[in-house]
Amino acid sequence: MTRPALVVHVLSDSFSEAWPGMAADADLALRTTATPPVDVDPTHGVVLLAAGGAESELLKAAEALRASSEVAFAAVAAAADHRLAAALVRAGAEEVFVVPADLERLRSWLQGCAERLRSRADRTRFATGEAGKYAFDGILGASGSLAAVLERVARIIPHGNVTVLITGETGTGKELIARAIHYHGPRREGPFVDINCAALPEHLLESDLFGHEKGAFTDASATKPGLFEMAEGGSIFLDEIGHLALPLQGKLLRALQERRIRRVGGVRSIAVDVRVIAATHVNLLEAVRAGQFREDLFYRLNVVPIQLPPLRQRRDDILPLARHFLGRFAAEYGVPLPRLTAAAERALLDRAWPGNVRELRNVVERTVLLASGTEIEPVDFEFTTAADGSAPDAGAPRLLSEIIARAVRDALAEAEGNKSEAARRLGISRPRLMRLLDPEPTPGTEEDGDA
Amino acid sequence: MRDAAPAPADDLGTLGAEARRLAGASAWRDVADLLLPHAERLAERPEIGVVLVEALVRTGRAREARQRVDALLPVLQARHDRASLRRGTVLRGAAAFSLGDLDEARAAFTQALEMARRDGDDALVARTMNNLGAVANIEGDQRGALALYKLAISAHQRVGDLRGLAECYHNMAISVRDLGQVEDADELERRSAEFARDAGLSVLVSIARMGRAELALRRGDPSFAEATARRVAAEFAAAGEPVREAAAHRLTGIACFQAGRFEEARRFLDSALARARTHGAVLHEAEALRSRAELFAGTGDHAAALADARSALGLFGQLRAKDDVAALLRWIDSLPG
Repeated sequence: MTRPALVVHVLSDSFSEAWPGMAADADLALRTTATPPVDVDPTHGVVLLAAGGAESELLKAAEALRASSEVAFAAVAAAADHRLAAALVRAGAEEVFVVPADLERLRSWLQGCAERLRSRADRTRFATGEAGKYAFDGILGASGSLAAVLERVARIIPHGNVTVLITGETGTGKELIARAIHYHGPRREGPFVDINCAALPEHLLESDLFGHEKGAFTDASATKPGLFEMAEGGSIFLDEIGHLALPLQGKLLRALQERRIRRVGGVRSIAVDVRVIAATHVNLLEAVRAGQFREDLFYRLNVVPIQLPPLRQRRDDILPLARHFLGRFAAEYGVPLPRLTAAAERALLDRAWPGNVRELRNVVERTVLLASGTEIEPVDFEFTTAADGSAPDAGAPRLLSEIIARAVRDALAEAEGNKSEAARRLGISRPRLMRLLDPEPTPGTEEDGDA
Repeated sequence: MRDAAPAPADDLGTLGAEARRLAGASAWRDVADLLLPHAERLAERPEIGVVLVEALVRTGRAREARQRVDALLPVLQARHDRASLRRGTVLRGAAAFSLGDLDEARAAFTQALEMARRDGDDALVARTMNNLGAVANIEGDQRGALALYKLAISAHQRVGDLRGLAECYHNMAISVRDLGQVEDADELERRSAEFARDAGLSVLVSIARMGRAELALRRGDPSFAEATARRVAAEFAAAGEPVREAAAHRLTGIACFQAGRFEEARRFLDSALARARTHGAVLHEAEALRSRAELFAGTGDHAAALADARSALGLFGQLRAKDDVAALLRWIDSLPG
């Protein structure tokens, strides 16, 4: 990555010895020019008009620069002239410095500019990286149902103000689609802010979304902006919108209609420029009929509905997804790429996948981490639910007492009832094993006649 | 246009540029080694003094950092160096946080946040919100912490700060875990690891994975926990992070315990304890003792369990970890006899 540039338009040679040090301090690449700089990229440079002793040329230079570029610039003079300074600021100069008196302020300004430029470059790089992660060719699916969804998503992406409602079961990739919409759209360099509307009590959710003023409630010791404000220029993803309390639904509706919000305890409304993407696994029409969701909000959200099919309706995608996850986790964990046997493939295809793609991902990751070889058999999956998604009869022990009891049982079974051998296998003494078997022995109990 | 050949900058300027380069690579010990011999001269260039303060905070010399930043802040104020003043203020908060003075930390972070917002310094807005979230979490206000972390996330995104995102998602995972939402916490640790990988920060990847190992224990998957913790322990060993390696050994020990392999559990917990003690990591020592106490209790050795629990209690008390002390006292009361 190239460093941002400090371009000094030298109207006089005064203080020229200062520029290299100033540029180095701010980590800027220095260029000097006797002619007006016309090719400075405003996202990658800053200009100083240096006129120690040639102040009469400053205003003309400033006006010429502003006419040709949006680049940030400041003027440097040898003598204070308030009228000139005011004119320069009106002409677009961010600052006017009188050197040598203002050298430290100038240094500080340059460092601030450099930070802003680097932040801007970092933001662009970040957005590009995220767009790569959420590229459509990364959302795997050969099935017709998903292809139709992706086609619809591609059509709405360029329209940065259109509200989107994504529906689907848990684990179908609603957030993935939301991020793809954001990072491929015109708001990609703005923030992507997400919140789960089911995760918080109503009053906390309201404060999180809309912010609060100091003193608005007992714990409000300082003013805090909400996520709508922090998402300015970007997108806000409202997950589980079906769980939003009715009073907050009204507030959200106003935000969508007026593009303004009011903080909790606040009196003034604040303009917000945010794209809203909402998601839910709840049937919102039924919720409307049941009086749990506002009809007007539903229609305001449902401008572009996107429905993600469950994995069981995308059976053609199960194996490609599984192989994708195998490759991904093999790379992450630095292990050889495992291969699914035909039996393993059948086992994956036979499952209902109630947890959808997320469940498949978790199963494959666990398998890659724990498998002892490169050929994956059905037994390697260690499913925690039955193929139809129901809970198995024998769950994994959860309580400590159950864990210990099972370990003791297993050790005794392996030792064919020999308690000394069982104790040895467990790495504990025989008396300790006896205490685990019978924490409060009754008087006169005889021990078994083993070694 | 004529490109100017770089003239030699003053030596403090050169020092500052080199310090910033090392700081950019997170080589904080090197930054401290470079600048400390010139510390007295840094009064001429207080903005470089701020870099030294950060190096001291990050290398565990919080007390010295606080002294130096207290001297620097008035100078920065007088010079109207707003950028350095903001950074110095947040570092004052960080030093106070390290020393356990949460009220002072919160006040400094809040002040820095106001300055950062006023001056449009998104990077610092992100960092201070993250820090305020950490304070809230330690005080037991997980929901307040999460609200702040979410705000920090958007600010980190604005400046494309991958490290900040990795750290913030990890912090969120801890708060969400403490609220009992294990699956959600796991998704957040995945996100943390993802950004850490994007940033090429392998230690942060390992930290996120260790978080996932702990979560696997909580959801009753000792196999996943053990495999992950063993892997992470090796990664920390290779990275020269003995204290974190101790933590990973502790998690491995707990996983072995959950799997019924008590001897192996004991070996890993002993190793965790020894490493923590060797490196003076009091919190890790306390946690290792607590875990070993649970192992002893689980295998019927209540005398050893009580001894370890009492030792852990003393250490948690030193750290003023009130919640840990209270929980451990309740656990001790529940032991037979």
